[in-house]
Amino acid sequence: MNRERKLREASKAANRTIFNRTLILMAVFGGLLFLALIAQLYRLQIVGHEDLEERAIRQQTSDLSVSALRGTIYDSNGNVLAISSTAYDVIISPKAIAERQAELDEALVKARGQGKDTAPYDWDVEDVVCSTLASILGLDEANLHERCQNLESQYERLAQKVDGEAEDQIRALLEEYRLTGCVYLQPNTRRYYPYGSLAAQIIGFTNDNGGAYGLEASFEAQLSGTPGRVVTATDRNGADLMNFFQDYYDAENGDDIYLTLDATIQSYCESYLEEYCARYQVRNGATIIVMDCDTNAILGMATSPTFDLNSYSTVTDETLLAWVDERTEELIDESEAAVQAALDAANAEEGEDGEDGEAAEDTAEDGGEELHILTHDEAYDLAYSEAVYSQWNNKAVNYTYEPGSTFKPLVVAAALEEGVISEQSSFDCGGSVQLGQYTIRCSNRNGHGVQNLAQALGHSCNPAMISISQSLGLETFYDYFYHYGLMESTGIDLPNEAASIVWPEDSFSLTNMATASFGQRFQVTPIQLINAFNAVVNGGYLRTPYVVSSIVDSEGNVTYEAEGEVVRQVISEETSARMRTMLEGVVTDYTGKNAYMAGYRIGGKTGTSQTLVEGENIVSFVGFAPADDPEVIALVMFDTPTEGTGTAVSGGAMAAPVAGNLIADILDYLGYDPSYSEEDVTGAMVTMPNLEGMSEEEARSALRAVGLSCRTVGSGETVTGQIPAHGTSIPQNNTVILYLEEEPPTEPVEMPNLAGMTPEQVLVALNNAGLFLRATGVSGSASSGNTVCIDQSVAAGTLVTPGYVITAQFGDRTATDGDVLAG
Amino acid sequence: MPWKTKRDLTREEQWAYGPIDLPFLMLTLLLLGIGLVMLFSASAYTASMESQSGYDPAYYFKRQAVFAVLGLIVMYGISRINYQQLRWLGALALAVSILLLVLVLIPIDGLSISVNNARRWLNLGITTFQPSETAKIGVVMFFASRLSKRHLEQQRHLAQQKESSRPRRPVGMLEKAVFAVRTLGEKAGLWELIPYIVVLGVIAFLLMREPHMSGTLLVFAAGAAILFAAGVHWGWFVLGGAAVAAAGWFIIAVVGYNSSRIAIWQDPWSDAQGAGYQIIQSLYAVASGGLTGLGFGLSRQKYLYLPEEQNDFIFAVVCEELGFIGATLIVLLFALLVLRGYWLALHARDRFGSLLVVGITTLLATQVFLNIAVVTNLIPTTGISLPFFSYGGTALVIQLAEIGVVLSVSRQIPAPRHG
Repeated sequence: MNRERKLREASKAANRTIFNRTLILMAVFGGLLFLALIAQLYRLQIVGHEDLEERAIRQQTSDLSVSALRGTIYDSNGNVLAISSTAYDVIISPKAIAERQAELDEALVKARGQGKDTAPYDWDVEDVVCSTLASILGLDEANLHERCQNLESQYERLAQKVDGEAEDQIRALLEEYRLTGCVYLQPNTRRYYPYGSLAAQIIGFTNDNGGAYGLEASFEAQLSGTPGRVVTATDRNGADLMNFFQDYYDAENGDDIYLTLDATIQSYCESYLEEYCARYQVRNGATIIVMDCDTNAILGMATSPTFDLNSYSTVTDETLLAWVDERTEELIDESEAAVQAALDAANAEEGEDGEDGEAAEDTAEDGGEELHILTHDEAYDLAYSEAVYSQWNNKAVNYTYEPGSTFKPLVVAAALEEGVISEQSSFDCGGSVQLGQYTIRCSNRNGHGVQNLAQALGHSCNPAMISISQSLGLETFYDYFYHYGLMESTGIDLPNEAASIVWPEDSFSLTNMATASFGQRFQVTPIQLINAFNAVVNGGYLRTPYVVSSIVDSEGNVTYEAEGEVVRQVISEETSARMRTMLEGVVTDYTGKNAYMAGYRIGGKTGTSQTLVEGENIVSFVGFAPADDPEVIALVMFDTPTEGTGTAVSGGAMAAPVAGNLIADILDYLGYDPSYSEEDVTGAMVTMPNLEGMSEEEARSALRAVGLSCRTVGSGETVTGQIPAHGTSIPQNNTVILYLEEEPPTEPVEMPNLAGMTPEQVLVALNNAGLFLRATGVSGSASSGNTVCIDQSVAAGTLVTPGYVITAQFGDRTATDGDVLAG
Repeated sequence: MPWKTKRDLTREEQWAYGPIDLPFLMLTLLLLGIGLVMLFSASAYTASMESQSGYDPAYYFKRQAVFAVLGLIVMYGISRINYQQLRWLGALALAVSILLLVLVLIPIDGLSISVNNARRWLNLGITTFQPSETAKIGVVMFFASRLSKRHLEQQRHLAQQKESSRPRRPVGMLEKAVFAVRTLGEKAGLWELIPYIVVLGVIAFLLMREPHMSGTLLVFAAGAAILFAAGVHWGWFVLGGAAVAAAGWFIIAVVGYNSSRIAIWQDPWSDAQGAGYQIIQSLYAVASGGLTGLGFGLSRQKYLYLPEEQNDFIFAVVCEELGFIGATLIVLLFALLVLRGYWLALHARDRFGSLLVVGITTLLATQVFLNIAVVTNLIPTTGISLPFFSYGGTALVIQLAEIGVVLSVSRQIPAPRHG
């Protein structure tokens, strides 16, 4: 039938349509869509992989930094000067506290519902945390509550570097209330300086950013180490998934630094500075440098005023505190003057305008900045912070001064080296020299007369120095500024070395040279001066001074080792030897005699110079010993001692005795046996033999053998007692007492006052009292009527046992250096 | 009931007992197996942290496994049913679905569940159920059964047209308009489309009230695919596409619904801790996989970073653990399943079978595409699960039931003639 056929055809057509259309669907839904998906997967998983994975890992891991332990700083004997220990920062998480509170509240409701004890849940987390921490850490509780309000925060640092008892208390709190997460202790490191103020300006200190000052700052890279990391996988809530993924990157601890400084020598330097700065009422600070002559290693370097490294922003030095008070007044006066000036200006203006404005009494506007008279507290704070900054200054390196006569040996050595003079040269000093319009006077107004070189140096004669410099000539003289390293920094491994201030070469005039020849009108750093001086006495070698002797990494490998690097040889060995002889003479016979220490062959040169500020003088002394083969060289410098303290303001009177004692102490400490010259023998130490039981005759000969004289008490035949007891070490020039069949006295005797007595008078006074003298200071031949006792080891009036050896120091209180400026 | 031997069966019955399509079954089982294992990996940590799952890491896995077994039984049972029975079931299923869709919108305590302001679920006690699932299958059955007889209707139209007098040449504006509408309606098939448009319109309206964007999309995709396969004039699809595009633009630009979703799609990091969080976490997971993946069980993102990691975003964990290679392999398995589905449609015994399989296959393909496209941020986020992988018992059972329908159709494919 037609209809059926048509239907069949329609059906077939429909089937065909479905077939074709399904093929299209197949291509789209079975092909295209999936290809699009695979393309997108490729885009993300292959192309975007690294970037997105990095971001993912950032959120999936908690990356805790593990601080590296900062390296330790040791002195040359391995004593710890600076060390780090672990301390903790106290952190609270307001978010965790709120969560803990919610947990508690829930538990509380449950406990109530079940009729259980509610006490364990019935407390306020925030209250407990705030009140306890406030009391442990000494913080304001209200402020803590305020910080707890920031519920988004998980990190509120309350305190830094807590350790010891506070740490224990916080740990107990955590345990008792199960506050882990709410309060936590984050490890940090704390720097500790066991010696407090020892070598403070050299070691320096750290702050939150690491080394801030001194070696701590300049060796930051070596000391700080590399912090480690703990990377732990966490879930979204921050819970550790330790079994899943955890990586440790060990912290690499900082390197240890060994200094050339010796804590003992350093403490000698510092205690001398402290003592003598107080005695001389030194106003602008002082410094002592002690250096090894052969390597230029710094053995000691002290600055006054000093401070405690463990609280570096506190001023403890009394002179400095007094200065703060002075400065406070000064600042107030300055601010008053400034306000007054501004007011005057304002009034003048108003007057012009014809207005009758009322100016505020103590404030004035000046260019938008409000001027006002400082209150005492404000001024004090300003002055105090100035003082804090100034006490951090290392005067040996960060400061320049006019070296004065201590510079003269450098000129003499240069002239000897150049062959323009010799020991036989003679210099006639008439008391002053006319140089153009200037008259330069010598310390001795009457003139030193005709002198040889050693005498000229010994007298520190200025006209002689001018004449020597003139024979060197301008150019050669100036060249020696370079040769001695005075035109460049020494290169010492300490930060902020100051630069010297010397005339420019092209304008260096004869007048300049004349003043330069006795060390005036140019400035060098103390370290430059001692370094150049050392070249004069150590055989002529200029070396780079250093304080860091070696650096050792955390595994014990030596990564750096210093060796006194020779910069150049300035003068010959022979010239140097001639200089040493003359400089020893300066101490034994001339202006440096206060540095004389019997048995120690000290050479040196005094110096006194005026600063640019009227009335401020710098006294100094550079000494070395032993003079024939120098081991140590020391510079002692006081900036502006006060006149009228009983000691003349001069290097010879003030700095030389300190240097002499210091050098003797150091040589003793270093184990050098004093060697006595013929002249010294009378003062050489001998051991008292045991004379008991001997006849008087036997005893006298035994004493003679060791060079002691004696007097006898009693009239027996046999020696029954002796003062001092056998084994006591006493100087030979003492007279010991023998008791012949008589009991030696045991009653203590009163110490006589020796001040102002000559050595002979002292010896008699002591021996009469049954005491013995060990004299230090000026040697016999140098002593004149001016040599008197200036110090005694036991204060007058103290009761002492008979036989005690008293050390008395002699000196010339009127000693001068011949340093008088051109007038 | 006495045991019937093959000899006793009618021809129809014999057909219905033909062999099921093994490739399609194997692909299904393979994907189901992989899906279960990945679900276990993805859900274990979350389950171990949740009180509702009793801190049992295998909680989700166990439940899903139970439903998988149940689903396989259902699948097999349905594959044994002669799908011709579904012809008349289509209209019924559609009617019931619409009823349920209405029901889900009525707030009844204990029955309808509202999550995030969306009312998509009915509470069945032991499990929940989305009426949209039945709506999809209802639409497929109804459309397939009606459109399989399309040529008969066309014949009837033609016959009617012949009986009536040939239309005069249109004169005047009105006549011209009437003529144009009649041409559009009859020649281009507008009239025949009206019932389908109404059905889709009603369902879409109800689904959008929930609201349920992805469900609407799936229903449209399946319906459109069947209409397309059945031979409806292609112009309508172009028009439909244009309409959807216009509607999309309207919704985005004018209504503002989803507009933040569009912004987030374009730059998830614009609100990384808020609206963009989920997709960012998904991208982290997908990208972290790299070429070879972090290894099975070693996803990091599943540690509470990735929300819905056992559900809509399970494929992100798959990508992270199995890498580009593993993920592509699974995408290819889905593609093969879909292709095999269309292949079965091409070879089905009758038009109804073809259209039924086209509908179900397109549903599956669209759902897989939408899910993975969302996870990889190819399209803006919409809540849609991944067949065989995502956690959800009822959905899995219904999915397997649909597979059962396809298998049922596959039984009646005539064996190739051997010559």
